Amino acid sequence: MGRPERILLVLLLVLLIFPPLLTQYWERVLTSALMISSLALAQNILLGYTGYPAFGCIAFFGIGGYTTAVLMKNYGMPFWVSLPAGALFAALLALIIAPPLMRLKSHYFAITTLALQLALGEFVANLEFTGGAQGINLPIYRGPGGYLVFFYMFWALTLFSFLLNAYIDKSTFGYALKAIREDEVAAETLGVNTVIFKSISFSVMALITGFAGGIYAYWITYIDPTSMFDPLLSVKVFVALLIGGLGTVGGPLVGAFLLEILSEVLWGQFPKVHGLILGLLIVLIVLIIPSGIWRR
Amino acid sequence: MRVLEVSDLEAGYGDVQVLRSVSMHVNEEEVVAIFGSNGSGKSTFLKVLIGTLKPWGGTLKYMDHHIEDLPPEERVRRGMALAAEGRKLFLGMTVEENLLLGAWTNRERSKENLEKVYTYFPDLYRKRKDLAGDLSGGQQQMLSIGRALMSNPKLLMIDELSLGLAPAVVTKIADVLLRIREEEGVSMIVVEQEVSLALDISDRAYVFDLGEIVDEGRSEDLLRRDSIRKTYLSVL
Repeated sequence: MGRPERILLVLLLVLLIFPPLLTQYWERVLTSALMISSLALAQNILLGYTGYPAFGCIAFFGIGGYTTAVLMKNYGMPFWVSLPAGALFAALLALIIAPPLMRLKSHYFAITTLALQLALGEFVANLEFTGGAQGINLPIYRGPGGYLVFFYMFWALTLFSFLLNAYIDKSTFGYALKAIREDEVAAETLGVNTVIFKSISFSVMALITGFAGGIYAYWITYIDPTSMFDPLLSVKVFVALLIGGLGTVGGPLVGAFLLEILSEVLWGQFPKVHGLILGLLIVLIVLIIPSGIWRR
Repeated sequence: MRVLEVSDLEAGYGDVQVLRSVSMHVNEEEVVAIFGSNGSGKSTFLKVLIGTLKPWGGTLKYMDHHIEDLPPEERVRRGMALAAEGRKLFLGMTVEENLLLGAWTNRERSKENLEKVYTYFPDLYRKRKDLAGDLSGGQQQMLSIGRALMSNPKLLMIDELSLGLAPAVVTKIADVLLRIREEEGVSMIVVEQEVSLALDISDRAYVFDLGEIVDEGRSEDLLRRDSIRKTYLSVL
Protein backbone atom coordinates (compact mmCIF):
# COMPACT_ATOMS: atom_id res chain seq x y z
CA MET A 1 0.00 0.00 0.00
CA GLY A 2 1.45 3.39 -0.99
CA ARG A 3 1.45 6.54 1.15
CA PRO A 4 -1.74 8.07 -0.35
CA GLU A 5 -3.61 4.79 0.26
CA ARG A 6 -2.35 4.67 3.85
CA ILE A 7 -3.62 8.23 4.41
CA LEU A 8 -6.99 7.22 2.99
CA LEU A 9 -7.06 4.23 5.32
CA VAL A 10 -6.40 6.49 8.32
CA LEU A 11 -9.23 8.80 7.17
CA LEU A 12 -11.51 5.79 6.89
CA LEU A 13 -10.58 4.75 10.43
CA VAL A 14 -11.12 8.30 11.72
CA LEU A 15 -14.61 8.24 10.16
CA LEU A 16 -15.53 5.71 12.83
CA ILE A 17 -15.57 8.34 15.59
CA PHE A 18 -17.85 10.75 13.71
CA PRO A 19 -21.34 9.22 13.79
CA PRO A 20 -22.31 10.18 17.37
CA LEU A 21 -21.51 13.82 16.46
CA LEU A 22 -23.62 13.83 13.30
CA THR A 23 -27.23 14.75 12.70
CA GLN A 24 -29.49 11.94 11.49
CA TYR A 25 -29.45 13.46 8.02
CA TRP A 26 -25.64 13.37 7.69
CA GLU A 27 -25.49 9.99 9.32
CA ARG A 28 -27.76 8.74 6.53
CA VAL A 29 -25.72 10.50 3.82
CA LEU A 30 -22.47 8.96 5.09
CA THR A 31 -24.07 5.51 5.42
CA SER A 32 -25.22 5.82 1.83
CA ALA A 33 -21.73 6.98 0.72
CA LEU A 34 -20.19 3.96 2.46
CA MET A 35 -22.66 1.67 0.69
CA ILE A 36 -21.76 3.13 -2.73
CA SER A 37 -18.06 2.90 -1.75
CA SER A 38 -18.31 -0.80 -0.99
CA LEU A 39 -20.21 -1.41 -4.25
CA ALA A 40 -17.65 0.61 -6.26
CA LEU A 41 -14.73 -1.19 -4.57
CA ALA A 42 -16.40 -4.53 -5.40
CA GLN A 43 -16.89 -3.48 -9.01
CA ASN A 44 -13.28 -2.28 -9.10
CA ILE A 45 -12.09 -5.85 -8.55
CA LEU A 46 -14.00 -7.01 -11.61
CA LEU A 47 -13.75 -3.98 -13.91
CA GLY A 48 -10.70 -2.11 -12.61
CA TYR A 49 -8.42 -5.11 -12.14
CA THR A 50 -9.92 -7.81 -14.37
CA GLY A 51 -11.32 -5.59 -17.14
CA TYR A 52 -14.89 -6.95 -17.15
CA PRO A 53 -17.62 -4.28 -16.84
CA ALA A 54 -20.56 -5.87 -15.04
CA PHE A 55 -23.06 -3.13 -15.73
CA GLY A 56 -25.69 -5.30 -14.11
CA CYS A 57 -23.71 -5.82 -10.89
CA ILE A 58 -26.77 -4.75 -8.91
CA ALA A 59 -28.31 -8.13 -9.77
CA PHE A 60 -26.23 -9.49 -6.88
CA PHE A 61 -27.29 -6.61 -4.65
CA GLY A 62 -30.86 -7.73 -5.28
CA ILE A 63 -30.07 -11.40 -4.72
CA GLY A 64 -28.26 -10.65 -1.45
CA GLY A 65 -31.03 -8.33 -0.27
CA TYR A 66 -33.89 -10.64 -1.20
CA THR A 67 -32.25 -13.76 0.23
CA THR A 68 -31.63 -11.94 3.51
CA ALA A 69 -35.20 -10.61 3.57
CA VAL A 70 -36.84 -13.94 2.67
CA LEU A 71 -34.83 -15.86 5.26
CA MET A 72 -35.71 -13.32 7.95
CA LYS A 73 -39.37 -12.85 7.07
CA ASN A 74 -40.43 -16.30 5.83
CA TYR A 75 -38.18 -18.52 7.92
CA GLY A 76 -37.69 -16.35 11.01
CA MET A 77 -33.90 -16.58 10.78
CA PRO A 78 -31.83 -13.93 12.55
CA PHE A 79 -30.25 -11.16 10.50
CA TRP A 80 -26.70 -12.26 11.39
CA VAL A 81 -27.36 -15.62 9.76
CA SER A 82 -29.49 -14.35 6.86
CA LEU A 83 -26.96 -11.69 5.81
CA PRO A 84 -23.98 -13.99 5.13
CA ALA A 85 -26.34 -16.59 3.66
CA GLY A 86 -27.59 -13.98 1.14
CA ALA A 87 -24.07 -12.85 0.25
CA LEU A 88 -22.82 -16.43 -0.12
CA PHE A 89 -25.80 -17.32 -2.30
CA ALA A 90 -25.02 -14.34 -4.57
CA ALA A 91 -21.34 -15.40 -4.73
CA LEU A 92 -22.24 -19.01 -5.48
CA LEU A 93 -24.63 -18.02 -8.25
CA ALA A 94 -21.90 -15.79 -9.73
CA LEU A 95 -19.41 -18.65 -9.58
CA ILE A 96 -21.81 -20.91 -11.47
CA ILE A 97 -22.69 -18.45 -14.23
CA ALA A 98 -19.20 -16.93 -14.60
CA PRO A 99 -17.58 -19.50 -16.95
CA PRO A 100 -20.19 -19.20 -19.73
CA LEU A 101 -20.98 -15.51 -19.08
CA MET A 102 -17.35 -14.40 -19.07
CA ARG A 103 -16.71 -15.82 -22.51
CA LEU A 104 -18.28 -12.51 -23.55
CA LYS A 105 -16.15 -9.40 -23.43
CA SER A 106 -16.47 -5.59 -23.05
CA HIS A 107 -19.89 -4.16 -24.00
CA TYR A 108 -21.35 -7.60 -24.80
CA PHE A 109 -20.54 -8.67 -21.25
CA ALA A 110 -21.84 -5.36 -19.85
CA ILE A 111 -25.17 -5.63 -21.68
CA THR A 112 -25.63 -9.30 -20.76
CA THR A 113 -25.13 -8.61 -17.06
CA LEU A 114 -27.59 -5.72 -17.31
CA ALA A 115 -30.10 -8.06 -18.98
CA LEU A 116 -29.52 -10.52 -16.13
CA GLN A 117 -30.24 -7.78 -13.60
CA LEU A 118 -33.48 -6.75 -15.32
CA ALA A 119 -34.58 -10.37 -15.85
CA LEU A 120 -33.94 -11.23 -12.20
CA GLY A 121 -35.97 -8.19 -11.17
CA GLU A 122 -38.88 -9.44 -13.29
CA PHE A 123 -38.43 -12.98 -11.98
CA VAL A 124 -38.54 -11.84 -8.34
CA ALA A 125 -41.59 -9.67 -9.09
CA ASN A 126 -43.46 -12.79 -10.21
CA LEU A 127 -42.65 -15.03 -7.27
CA GLU A 128 -45.03 -15.43 -4.38
CA PHE A 129 -42.57 -16.05 -1.58
CA THR A 130 -40.67 -12.84 -2.40
CA GLY A 131 -43.86 -10.81 -2.06
CA GLY A 132 -44.04 -10.28 -5.85
CA ALA A 133 -44.20 -6.69 -7.04
CA GLN A 134 -45.49 -5.64 -3.61
CA GLY A 135 -42.13 -6.38 -2.02
CA ILE A 136 -41.29 -7.40 1.54
CA ASN A 137 -41.49 -5.51 4.82
CA LEU A 138 -38.72 -6.34 7.22
CA PRO A 139 -38.81 -5.89 10.99
CA ILE A 140 -37.35 -2.62 12.24
CA TYR A 141 -34.00 -2.98 13.92
CA ARG A 142 -34.35 -2.19 17.65
CA GLY A 143 -31.06 -3.52 18.95
CA PRO A 144 -28.14 -1.67 20.55
CA GLY A 145 -26.74 1.32 18.67
CA GLY A 146 -29.99 2.05 16.83
CA TYR A 147 -29.68 2.84 13.16
CA LEU A 148 -26.01 3.68 13.59
CA VAL A 149 -25.39 -0.05 13.39
CA PHE A 150 -25.99 0.15 9.62
CA PHE A 151 -23.37 2.89 9.35
CA TYR A 152 -20.89 0.59 11.12
CA MET A 153 -21.83 -2.40 8.98
CA PHE A 154 -21.30 -0.49 5.74
CA TRP A 155 -18.11 0.96 7.21
CA ALA A 156 -16.82 -2.55 7.98
CA LEU A 157 -17.77 -3.75 4.50
CA THR A 158 -16.00 -0.75 2.93
CA LEU A 159 -12.90 -1.32 5.07
CA PHE A 160 -12.84 -5.00 4.08
CA SER A 161 -13.30 -4.14 0.38
CA PHE A 162 -10.63 -1.44 0.56
CA LEU A 163 -8.10 -3.80 2.17
CA LEU A 164 -9.01 -6.50 -0.37
CA ASN A 165 -8.39 -4.05 -3.22
CA ALA A 166 -5.04 -3.10 -1.66
CA TYR A 167 -4.09 -6.77 -1.41
CA ILE A 168 -5.14 -7.47 -5.00
CA ASP A 169 -3.20 -4.47 -6.25
CA LYS A 170 0.15 -5.92 -5.13
CA SER A 171 -0.45 -9.66 -4.94
CA THR A 172 0.27 -12.47 -7.38
CA PHE A 173 -3.49 -13.01 -7.56
CA GLY A 174 -3.83 -9.36 -8.59
CA TYR A 175 -1.10 -9.71 -11.23
CA ALA A 176 -3.11 -12.52 -12.81
CA LEU A 177 -6.26 -10.36 -12.85
CA LYS A 178 -4.37 -7.43 -14.35
CA ALA A 179 -2.86 -9.72 -16.97
CA ILE A 180 -6.37 -10.81 -17.96
CA ARG A 181 -7.40 -7.16 -18.16
CA GLU A 182 -4.44 -6.25 -20.34
CA ASP A 183 -4.46 -9.25 -22.71
CA GLU A 184 -6.33 -12.43 -21.93
CA VAL A 185 -4.69 -14.55 -24.63
CA ALA A 186 -1.22 -13.47 -23.50
CA ALA A 187 -2.16 -14.36 -19.93
CA GLU A 188 -3.19 -17.83 -21.10
CA THR A 189 0.08 -18.34 -22.95
CA LEU A 190 1.91 -17.65 -19.67
CA GLY A 191 -0.04 -20.39 -17.95
CA VAL A 192 -2.68 -18.31 -16.14
CA ASN A 193 -5.95 -20.26 -15.96
CA THR A 194 -8.10 -17.34 -17.03
CA VAL A 195 -11.46 -19.08 -16.48
CA ILE A 196 -10.69 -19.73 -12.81
CA PHE A 197 -9.38 -16.23 -12.10
CA LYS A 198 -12.24 -14.48 -13.92
CA SER A 199 -14.75 -16.63 -12.03
CA ILE A 200 -13.13 -15.84 -8.67
CA SER A 201 -13.09 -12.12 -9.48
CA PHE A 202 -16.76 -12.19 -10.52
CA SER A 203 -17.69 -14.16 -7.44
CA VAL A 204 -15.83 -11.86 -5.02
CA MET A 205 -17.59 -8.87 -6.61
CA ALA A 206 -20.93 -10.66 -6.13
CA LEU A 207 -20.08 -11.55 -2.50
CA ILE A 208 -19.41 -7.93 -1.48
CA THR A 209 -22.36 -6.66 -3.52
CA GLY A 210 -24.60 -9.32 -1.94
CA PHE A 211 -23.49 -8.25 1.55
CA ALA A 212 -24.31 -4.63 0.66
CA GLY A 213 -27.77 -5.70 -0.58
CA GLY A 214 -28.48 -7.60 2.63
CA ILE A 215 -27.46 -4.71 4.89
CA TYR A 216 -29.43 -2.28 2.72
CA ALA A 217 -32.59 -4.44 2.93
CA TYR A 218 -32.55 -4.43 6.73
CA TRP A 219 -31.60 -0.74 6.86
CA ILE A 220 -34.46 0.36 4.59
CA THR A 221 -36.89 -2.25 6.10
CA TYR A 222 -38.90 -2.41 2.89
CA ILE A 223 -37.66 -3.81 -0.41
CA ASP A 224 -39.28 -4.37 -3.77
CA PRO A 225 -37.91 -5.52 -7.16
CA THR A 226 -37.70 -1.94 -8.47
CA SER A 227 -35.44 -0.71 -5.67
CA MET A 228 -33.31 -3.87 -5.35
CA PHE A 229 -32.62 -4.34 -9.07
CA ASP A 230 -32.44 -0.65 -9.93
CA PRO A 231 -30.31 0.11 -13.05
CA LEU A 232 -29.75 3.66 -11.73
CA LEU A 233 -27.83 2.21 -8.81
CA SER A 234 -25.55 0.43 -11.33
CA VAL A 235 -25.04 3.80 -13.05
CA LYS A 236 -24.16 5.43 -9.73
CA VAL A 237 -21.57 2.74 -8.96
CA PHE A 238 -19.97 3.13 -12.39
CA VAL A 239 -19.92 6.93 -12.18
CA ALA A 240 -18.27 6.76 -8.74
CA LEU A 241 -15.70 4.33 -10.10
CA LEU A 242 -14.94 6.39 -13.21
CA ILE A 243 -14.65 9.66 -11.25
CA GLY A 244 -12.42 8.03 -8.65
CA GLY A 245 -10.17 6.07 -10.99
CA LEU A 246 -10.48 2.55 -12.37
CA GLY A 247 -8.03 -0.07 -11.18
CA THR A 248 -6.81 2.02 -8.25
CA VAL A 249 -7.11 1.22 -4.56
CA GLY A 250 -8.28 4.65 -3.41
CA GLY A 251 -10.26 5.78 -6.45
CA PRO A 252 -13.56 3.99 -5.84
CA LEU A 253 -13.70 5.24 -2.24
CA VAL A 254 -12.92 8.86 -3.17
CA GLY A 255 -15.29 8.75 -6.16
CA ALA A 256 -18.18 7.36 -4.10
CA PHE A 257 -17.82 9.92 -1.31
CA LEU A 258 -17.41 12.79 -3.75
CA LEU A 259 -20.46 11.73 -5.75
CA GLU A 260 -22.70 11.14 -2.73
CA ILE A 261 -21.74 14.27 -0.81
CA LEU A 262 -21.78 16.48 -3.92
CA SER A 263 -25.18 15.08 -4.84
CA GLU A 264 -26.59 15.79 -1.35
CA VAL A 265 -25.14 19.30 -1.13
CA LEU A 266 -26.45 20.22 -4.58
CA TRP A 267 -29.83 18.72 -3.74
CA GLY A 268 -29.97 20.91 -0.63
CA GLN A 269 -28.83 24.10 -2.37
CA PHE A 270 -30.51 23.74 -5.77
CA PRO A 271 -33.53 21.48 -5.30
CA LYS A 272 -34.92 22.13 -8.78
CA VAL A 273 -31.76 21.82 -10.88
CA HIS A 274 -29.47 19.69 -8.75
CA GLY A 275 -29.52 16.82 -11.28
CA LEU A 276 -28.49 19.14 -14.09
CA ILE A 277 -25.63 20.69 -12.10
CA LEU A 278 -24.44 17.30 -10.87
CA GLY A 279 -24.50 15.95 -14.43
CA LEU A 280 -22.50 18.92 -15.72
CA LEU A 281 -19.97 18.54 -12.91
CA ILE A 282 -19.52 14.84 -13.71
CA VAL A 283 -19.00 15.65 -17.39
CA LEU A 284 -16.42 18.30 -16.45
CA ILE A 285 -14.55 15.94 -14.13
CA VAL A 286 -14.45 13.19 -16.76
CA LEU A 287 -13.27 15.68 -19.41
CA ILE A 288 -10.53 17.21 -17.26
CA ILE A 289 -9.29 14.02 -15.61
CA PRO A 290 -10.46 11.12 -17.81
CA SER A 291 -8.47 8.52 -15.88
CA GLY A 292 -10.02 9.61 -12.58
CA ILE A 293 -8.95 11.52 -9.50
CA TRP A 294 -6.80 8.73 -8.09
CA ARG A 295 -3.85 7.89 -10.34
CA ARG A 296 -2.43 4.41 -10.82
CA MET B 1 16.10 -36.92 -27.93
CA ARG B 2 13.25 -35.08 -29.64
CA VAL B 3 11.76 -32.27 -27.59
CA LEU B 4 8.87 -31.76 -29.99
CA GLU B 5 7.40 -33.95 -32.68
CA VAL B 6 4.54 -32.80 -34.87
CA SER B 7 2.84 -35.12 -37.35
CA ASP B 8 0.22 -34.31 -39.98
CA LEU B 9 -1.02 -31.29 -38.08
CA GLU B 10 -4.14 -29.58 -39.44
CA ALA B 11 -5.66 -26.41 -37.98
CA GLY B 12 -7.62 -23.29 -38.89
CA TYR B 13 -10.13 -20.67 -37.86
CA GLY B 14 -13.86 -21.36 -38.30
CA ASP B 15 -14.20 -23.05 -41.68
CA VAL B 16 -10.92 -21.75 -43.03
CA GLN B 17 -8.11 -24.28 -42.97
CA VAL B 18 -4.70 -22.69 -42.39
CA LEU B 19 -2.32 -25.56 -41.60
CA ARG B 20 -2.24 -28.61 -43.86
CA SER B 21 -0.46 -31.79 -42.89
CA VAL B 22 2.43 -30.08 -41.09
CA SER B 23 5.11 -32.45 -39.78
CA MET B 24 8.29 -31.30 -38.09
CA HIS B 25 10.45 -31.91 -35.06
CA VAL B 26 12.82 -30.13 -32.70
CA ASN B 27 15.79 -31.91 -31.10
CA GLU B 28 17.27 -31.17 -27.70
CA GLU B 29 19.23 -27.88 -27.54
CA GLU B 30 18.44 -27.21 -31.18
CA VAL B 31 17.39 -23.88 -32.69
CA VAL B 32 14.84 -24.39 -35.45
CA ALA B 33 13.78 -21.52 -37.68
CA ILE B 34 10.45 -21.24 -39.44
CA PHE B 35 10.09 -18.77 -42.25
CA GLY B 36 7.77 -18.07 -45.14
CA SER B 37 5.66 -15.33 -46.66
CA ASN B 38 2.89 -13.45 -44.87
CA GLY B 39 -0.17 -15.60 -44.21
CA SER B 40 1.72 -18.87 -44.59
CA GLY B 41 0.53 -20.09 -41.18
CA LYS B 42 3.68 -19.59 -39.07
CA SER B 43 1.98 -17.77 -36.18
CA THR B 44 -1.02 -20.11 -36.34
CA PHE B 45 1.40 -23.01 -35.96
CA LEU B 46 2.81 -21.49 -32.74
CA LYS B 47 -0.71 -20.88 -31.40
CA VAL B 48 -1.47 -24.57 -31.86
CA LEU B 49 1.80 -25.54 -30.17
CA ILE B 50 1.13 -23.40 -27.07
CA GLY B 51 -2.51 -24.49 -26.98
CA THR B 52 -4.50 -21.30 -27.59
CA LEU B 53 -5.79 -22.81 -30.85
CA LYS B 54 -7.07 -26.37 -31.01
CA PRO B 55 -5.76 -28.55 -33.83
CA TRP B 56 -8.25 -30.15 -36.23
CA GLY B 57 -6.13 -33.26 -36.66
CA GLY B 58 -2.66 -34.75 -36.42
CA THR B 59 -0.49 -35.39 -33.40
CA LEU B 60 1.62 -33.20 -31.12
CA LYS B 61 4.20 -34.84 -28.90
CA TYR B 62 6.28 -32.90 -26.39
CA MET B 63 9.02 -34.81 -24.54
CA ASP B 64 7.45 -38.01 -25.84
CA HIS B 65 3.98 -37.24 -24.43
CA HIS B 66 0.87 -36.39 -26.40
CA ILE B 67 -0.20 -32.82 -25.60
CA GLU B 68 -3.06 -32.22 -28.09
CA ASP B 69 -5.66 -32.05 -25.32
CA LEU B 70 -3.63 -30.17 -22.74
CA PRO B 71 -4.63 -26.56 -21.91
CA PRO B 72 -1.99 -23.82 -22.35
CA GLU B 73 -1.23 -23.59 -18.61
CA GLU B 74 -0.32 -27.29 -18.50
CA ARG B 75 1.92 -26.97 -21.56
CA VAL B 76 3.70 -24.01 -19.93
CA ARG B 77 4.00 -25.98 -16.69
CA ARG B 78 5.67 -28.79 -18.64
CA GLY B 79 8.25 -26.42 -20.12
CA MET B 80 6.88 -24.80 -23.27
CA ALA B 81 6.97 -21.00 -23.49
CA LEU B 82 5.97 -18.51 -26.16
CA ALA B 83 7.20 -14.99 -26.81
CA ALA B 84 4.16 -14.15 -28.91
CA GLU B 85 3.76 -12.11 -32.08
CA GLY B 86 3.34 -8.41 -31.33
CA ARG B 87 5.06 -9.17 -27.99
CA LYS B 88 1.71 -9.34 -26.17
CA LEU B 89 3.09 -7.45 -23.20
CA PHE B 90 0.94 -6.10 -20.40
CA LEU B 91 1.66 -2.48 -21.25
CA GLY B 92 -0.07 -1.01 -18.18
CA MET B 93 2.10 -3.07 -15.83
CA THR B 94 5.74 -2.60 -14.87
CA VAL B 95 8.62 -4.55 -16.38
CA GLU B 96 9.06 -6.54 -13.17
CA GLU B 97 5.34 -7.33 -12.90
CA ASN B 98 5.42 -8.62 -16.50
CA LEU B 99 8.40 -10.81 -15.65
CA LEU B 100 6.80 -12.15 -12.48
CA LEU B 101 3.74 -13.11 -14.49
CA GLY B 102 6.03 -15.11 -16.75
CA ALA B 103 6.93 -17.20 -13.71
CA TRP B 104 3.26 -17.98 -13.04
CA THR B 105 3.72 -21.75 -13.32
CA ASN B 106 7.10 -21.69 -11.60
CA ARG B 107 6.64 -19.19 -8.78
CA GLU B 108 8.96 -20.91 -6.31
CA ARG B 109 11.91 -20.11 -8.58
CA SER B 110 10.78 -16.63 -9.61
CA LYS B 111 13.49 -14.75 -7.68
CA GLU B 112 16.29 -16.88 -9.08
CA ASN B 113 14.85 -16.65 -12.61
CA LEU B 114 14.38 -12.89 -12.28
CA GLU B 115 18.09 -12.51 -11.56
CA LYS B 116 18.91 -14.74 -14.52
CA VAL B 117 16.76 -12.66 -16.89
CA TYR B 118 18.32 -9.43 -15.58
CA THR B 119 21.77 -10.92 -16.25
CA TYR B 120 20.83 -11.69 -19.85
CA PHE B 121 19.06 -8.36 -20.36
CA PRO B 122 20.61 -5.69 -18.08
CA ASP B 123 18.40 -3.05 -19.77
CA LEU B 124 15.39 -4.69 -18.14
CA TYR B 125 16.94 -4.40 -14.69
CA ARG B 126 17.45 -0.65 -15.19
CA LYS B 127 13.85 -0.28 -16.36
CA ARG B 128 12.29 -2.76 -13.91
CA LYS B 129 10.01 -0.14 -12.29
CA ASP B 130 8.92 1.41 -15.62
CA LEU B 131 5.70 0.53 -17.39
CA ALA B 132 6.17 -1.96 -20.22
CA GLY B 133 4.34 0.50 -22.49
CA ASP B 134 7.12 3.07 -21.96
CA LEU B 135 9.90 0.79 -23.28
CA SER B 136 11.49 1.02 -26.73
CA GLY B 137 10.69 -1.69 -29.31
CA GLY B 138 13.95 -3.51 -28.61
CA GLN B 139 13.44 -3.44 -24.86
CA GLN B 140 9.89 -4.71 -25.33
CA GLN B 141 11.22 -7.65 -27.34
CA MET B 142 13.77 -8.34 -24.59
CA LEU B 143 10.95 -8.24 -22.06
CA SER B 144 8.84 -10.59 -24.14
CA ILE B 145 11.69 -13.13 -24.34
CA GLY B 146 12.66 -12.54 -20.69
CA ARG B 147 9.08 -13.15 -19.60
CA ALA B 148 8.99 -16.42 -21.52
CA LEU B 149 12.28 -17.45 -19.87
CA MET B 150 10.81 -16.91 -16.40
CA SER B 151 8.96 -20.24 -16.61
CA ASN B 152 12.25 -22.16 -17.06
CA PRO B 153 11.28 -23.47 -20.49
CA LYS B 154 12.77 -26.47 -22.22
CA LEU B 155 11.26 -25.26 -25.50
CA LEU B 156 11.18 -21.53 -26.16
CA MET B 157 9.12 -20.31 -29.12
CA ILE B 158 9.66 -16.81 -30.45
CA ASP B 159 7.32 -15.25 -32.97
CA GLU B 160 8.71 -12.51 -35.24
CA LEU B 161 11.96 -11.86 -33.43
CA SER B 162 13.09 -8.90 -35.54
CA LEU B 163 9.75 -7.24 -36.34
CA GLY B 164 10.11 -3.45 -36.21
CA LEU B 165 13.59 -3.52 -34.66
CA ALA B 166 16.85 -1.91 -35.75
CA PRO B 167 19.45 -4.41 -37.08
CA ALA B 168 21.88 -3.66 -34.21
CA VAL B 169 19.19 -4.44 -31.64
CA VAL B 170 18.26 -7.65 -33.43
CA THR B 171 21.88 -8.81 -33.45
CA LYS B 172 22.17 -8.07 -29.73
CA ILE B 173 19.01 -10.09 -28.94
CA ALA B 174 20.06 -12.94 -31.25
CA ASP B 175 23.42 -13.16 -29.44
CA VAL B 176 21.63 -13.42 -26.11
CA LEU B 177 19.38 -16.19 -27.50
CA LEU B 178 22.41 -18.24 -28.54
CA ARG B 179 23.91 -17.70 -25.08
CA ILE B 180 20.66 -18.89 -23.49
CA ARG B 181 20.70 -22.02 -25.65
CA GLU B 182 24.26 -22.78 -24.59
CA GLU B 183 23.95 -21.98 -20.91
CA GLU B 184 20.41 -23.22 -20.25
CA GLY B 185 20.17 -26.00 -22.81
CA VAL B 186 16.92 -24.55 -24.14
CA SER B 187 15.58 -25.71 -27.51
CA MET B 188 14.04 -22.97 -29.62
CA ILE B 189 11.63 -22.39 -32.46
CA VAL B 190 12.19 -18.99 -34.03
CA VAL B 191 9.56 -17.72 -36.44
CA GLU B 192 11.14 -15.02 -38.53
CA GLN B 193 10.47 -13.14 -41.75
CA GLU B 194 14.06 -11.91 -42.02
CA VAL B 195 15.32 -15.11 -43.65
CA SER B 196 19.06 -14.41 -43.46
CA LEU B 197 18.73 -13.82 -39.71
CA ALA B 198 16.60 -16.95 -39.28
CA LEU B 199 19.16 -19.10 -41.06
CA ASP B 200 22.08 -17.43 -39.27
CA ILE B 201 20.89 -18.28 -35.76
CA SER B 202 19.33 -21.69 -36.40
CA ASP B 203 20.59 -25.23 -36.85
CA ARG B 204 17.73 -26.31 -39.08
CA ALA B 205 14.81 -24.56 -40.75
CA TYR B 206 11.37 -25.21 -42.21
CA VAL B 207 9.84 -23.14 -45.00
CA PHE B 208 6.10 -22.54 -44.77
CA ASP B 209 3.90 -21.65 -47.74
CA LEU B 210 0.08 -21.56 -47.70
CA GLY B 211 -0.02 -23.61 -44.52
CA GLU B 212 2.30 -26.37 -45.72
CA ILE B 213 5.96 -27.12 -45.23
CA VAL B 214 7.45 -26.76 -48.69
CA ASP B 215 11.13 -27.07 -47.84
CA GLU B 216 13.33 -28.02 -44.92
CA GLY B 217 16.92 -28.78 -44.13
CA ARG B 218 20.03 -27.70 -42.30
CA SER B 219 20.24 -23.93 -42.22
CA GLU B 220 23.67 -23.77 -43.82
CA ASP B 221 22.41 -25.95 -46.70
CA LEU B 222 19.26 -23.85 -47.16
CA LEU B 223 21.38 -20.72 -47.22
CA ARG B 224 23.21 -22.11 -50.24
CA ARG B 225 20.10 -23.38 -52.02
CA ASP B 226 19.24 -21.36 -55.16
CA SER B 227 15.47 -21.51 -54.68
CA ILE B 228 15.79 -20.05 -51.18
CA ARG B 229 18.31 -17.42 -52.22
CA LYS B 230 16.09 -16.26 -55.14
CA THR B 231 12.75 -16.32 -53.30
CA TYR B 232 13.70 -15.14 -49.84
CA LEU B 233 17.10 -13.48 -50.03
CA SER B 234 16.58 -11.60 -53.34
CA VAL B 235 19.88 -12.95 -54.64
CA LEU B 236 19.74 -13.34 -58.41
